Amino acid sequence: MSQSIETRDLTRIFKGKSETVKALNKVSLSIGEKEVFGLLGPNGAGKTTFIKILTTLLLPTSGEAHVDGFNVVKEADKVRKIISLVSGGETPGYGILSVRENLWFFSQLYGLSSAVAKEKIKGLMADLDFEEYANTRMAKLSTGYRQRLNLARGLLSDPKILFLDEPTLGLDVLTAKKLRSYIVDWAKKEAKGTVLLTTHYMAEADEMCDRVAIIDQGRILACGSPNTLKENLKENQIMKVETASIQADFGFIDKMVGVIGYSQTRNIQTGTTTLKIMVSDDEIFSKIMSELEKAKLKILAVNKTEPTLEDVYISLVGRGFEEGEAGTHA
Amino acid sequence: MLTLSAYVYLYKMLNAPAEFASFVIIGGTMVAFWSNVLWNMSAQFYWEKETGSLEVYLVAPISRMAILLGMALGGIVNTTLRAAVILIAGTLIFQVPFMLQEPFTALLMFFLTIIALYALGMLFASLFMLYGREAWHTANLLQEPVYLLSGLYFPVNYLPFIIQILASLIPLTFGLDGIRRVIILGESITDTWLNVAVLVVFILVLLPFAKFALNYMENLGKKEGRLTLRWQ
Amino acid sequence: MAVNTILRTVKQAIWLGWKIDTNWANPLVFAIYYLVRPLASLLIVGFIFLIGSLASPSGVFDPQYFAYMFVGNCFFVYVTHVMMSMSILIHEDRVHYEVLKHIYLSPASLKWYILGRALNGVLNASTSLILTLGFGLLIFQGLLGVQIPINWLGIDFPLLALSLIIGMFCFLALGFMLCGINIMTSRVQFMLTEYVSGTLYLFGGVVFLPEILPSWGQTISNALPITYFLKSIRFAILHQTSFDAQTNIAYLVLTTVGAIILGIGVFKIAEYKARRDGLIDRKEEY
Ligand SMILES: Nc1ncnc2c1ncn2[C@@H]1O[C@H](COP(=O)(O)OP(=O)(O)OP(=O)(O)O)[C@@H](O)[C@H]1O
Ligand SMILES: [Mg+2]
Repeated sequence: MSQSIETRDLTRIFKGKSETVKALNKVSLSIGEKEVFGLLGPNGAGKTTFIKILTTLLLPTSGEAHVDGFNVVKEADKVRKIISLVSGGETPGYGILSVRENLWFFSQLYGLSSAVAKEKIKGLMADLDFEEYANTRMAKLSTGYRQRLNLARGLLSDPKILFLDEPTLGLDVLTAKKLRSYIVDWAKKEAKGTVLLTTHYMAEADEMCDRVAIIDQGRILACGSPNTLKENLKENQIMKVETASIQADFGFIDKMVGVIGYSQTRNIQTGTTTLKIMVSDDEIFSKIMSELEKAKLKILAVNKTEPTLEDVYISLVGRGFEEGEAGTHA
Repeated sequence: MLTLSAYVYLYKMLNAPAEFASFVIIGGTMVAFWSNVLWNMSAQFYWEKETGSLEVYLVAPISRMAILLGMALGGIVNTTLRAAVILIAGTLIFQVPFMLQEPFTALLMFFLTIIALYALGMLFASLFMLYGREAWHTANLLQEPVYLLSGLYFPVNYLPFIIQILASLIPLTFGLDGIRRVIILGESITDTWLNVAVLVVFILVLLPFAKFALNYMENLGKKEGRLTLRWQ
Repeated sequence: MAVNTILRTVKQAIWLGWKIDTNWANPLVFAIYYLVRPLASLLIVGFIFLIGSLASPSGVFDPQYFAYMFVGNCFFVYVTHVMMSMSILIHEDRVHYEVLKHIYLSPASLKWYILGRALNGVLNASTSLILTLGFGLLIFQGLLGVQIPINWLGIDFPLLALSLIIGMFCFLALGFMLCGINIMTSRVQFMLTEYVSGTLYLFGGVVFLPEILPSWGQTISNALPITYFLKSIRFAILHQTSFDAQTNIAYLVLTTVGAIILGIGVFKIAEYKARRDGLIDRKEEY
């Protein structure tokens, strides 16, 4: 299989006034044609930096990257012709222009002929379900519809490789689901549709991606299909514990021998914290339970769970994605 | 400063008396303050709105006028420096004559003008708060016309009478006239008391009005949900 | 790259510029906008001129000089206008509209888009020029009875057109330079406009003869294409003084080429730095 994206020891260092950040640290990845590839990691992991380098917006400090065989540094022009970029949380476009006018503007910049452009715009608006807003000024659109517009813009030019940087950021569950399935379908349908998406939503990566790489502090910690990654965890035990406190400090869990990692999700509304603890062996659980009891924490429920991508991450980093994850498992 | 020099040269080319050069330079000095009011204070609201931090300010239980004053003070050191450079450099380069007799009168006139300008600035700020881009364009639009009317670069009394009346609505006109008469012509407070009185009236009218406008616009903005709207 | 794509990009950019400029107000207000500032600036120098003449020892008003200033100030609108629109452009597209990176990634990339926006600026400036000339004449000649010796039938149109075309290259070069600087910096767009256009206004012989500047000032004046541009325009319209039009055009071309090299150079450096430091989609501008 020929490679759509290939990086070797890709490194990017940001030199600030006081500190130096290694946003990417020797990242080597190969992504095949027609693959939907996910880059999963917490804030500041280096996901956006990776995408910016591959989309020729940023130069790497060292290492190499090829997109469809073209060197991103030396052959930027060629790379630009076959890619497109959609960033979540951003709504590129002119508020004063209508949805259709915005799409038209970009279709012309992408060099589509008038007839093709009209056809494409119509098709994309129908597919993504926002035809009714065609003549609405972009400024009046809600976030969800702006994001549809953003995605439609990204697909206008029939890119070979689609870069999606947190495409569902700030969207409601339904809209997010819709966009996700549309993207997956698109990749299947297109002759050469490769997708590289970054996300910090576990479920999104699980649902959409053929393969996932987990990145933290600029390093790739693991890479494989979601199932393989989860398979690798089979020998560990994962327990979900719900406690009736949202303030307690659970730091002690991490320090216990045999604990691989844990995450906590606080739910302010119910006043509970859900702990997810991964251990190498069952016996440790009873120790943890007694510690929790010693701390006078009321325990509401305990159950064993199947590994998810989050657990893969926990096993690699030793901590979870902190709070706010609740509700994102759409 | 650069445009200013061009005007001085124009007077020079015309062989006009040297007072005119002093006239332009004092005008330029005051423009520095006027710009500060307009761009640092009024437009600040607009920038804050753009960056979304206006909300933060508005939630804080500080009076709007205090916020604005803070913004203006932030710029005033810079502005004063700028004004001083214009004044000193202009005086040295063009060797303009001054006949200052009563420095205190000059200072009084100066401070009254500044206060009146800042009151006007607050009034503008209320517009910026709500109308962002439109207000910005308007302020931009009015830049030269205000220069024209307030006689920054030539004595207003040469202008047609109707225009003089229009010009007198801008506090800058009176302040400038007073300052110039004291500094360039060496007049005393007894000659210029009318300017002082008018400036005081301006301040007394503008300040409460600005306060009212700020409150009014804020409420209107909240009602229409426009305070946090970004430029489109 | 396909010439077609470039043309489409330029065309869209011009259209977009028009849409943005006319958006915030109805066409009437828009026209006023393009008239008020240049006209007010014209009136300022006009009054300075009249009052200065009155107050001078001889008290004589020189209509030839007045015409010199009148034409110079009117045509300077190209500089202020192109500068203003080019200077805000990068900031707006980067921070407000968030489109800059997508334009950058499009096949024709930034330069053709910027060219289109600059051309829109030139078109607007031309509108503005015509309006200002008309109203300026109306006010000074009609209302105030100032004689402005312009023989409208005697204008040397080929020379005027030639000067305008060469001048346009110069303005575009200036526009690219400003865009370049704005890519590399943030929030200086207004100050930049003020300083650059102020310099050109002072040293370009816009409202007074450069000969009265000190000698170092004259040196600067001689290096600026705008000086030759205005000289050429004035000669085409006013036919004042003995004048070697060909030599002047040659200087205009020479300095414009210099400006183009500078403009492209600054822009190239900006493009490189932008990629090195990731400035194309920088958000924290404040
Ligand atoms: N232009 C820059 N200058 C300095 N540091 C930067 C710059 N861009 C990114 N960084 C730093 O590089 C690191 C990686 O940032 P990056 O934006 O790639 O993270 P991310 O994975 O996309 O995070 P998020 O989920 O928050 O979007 C961060 O520590 C960030 O502070
Ligand atoms: Mg990111």
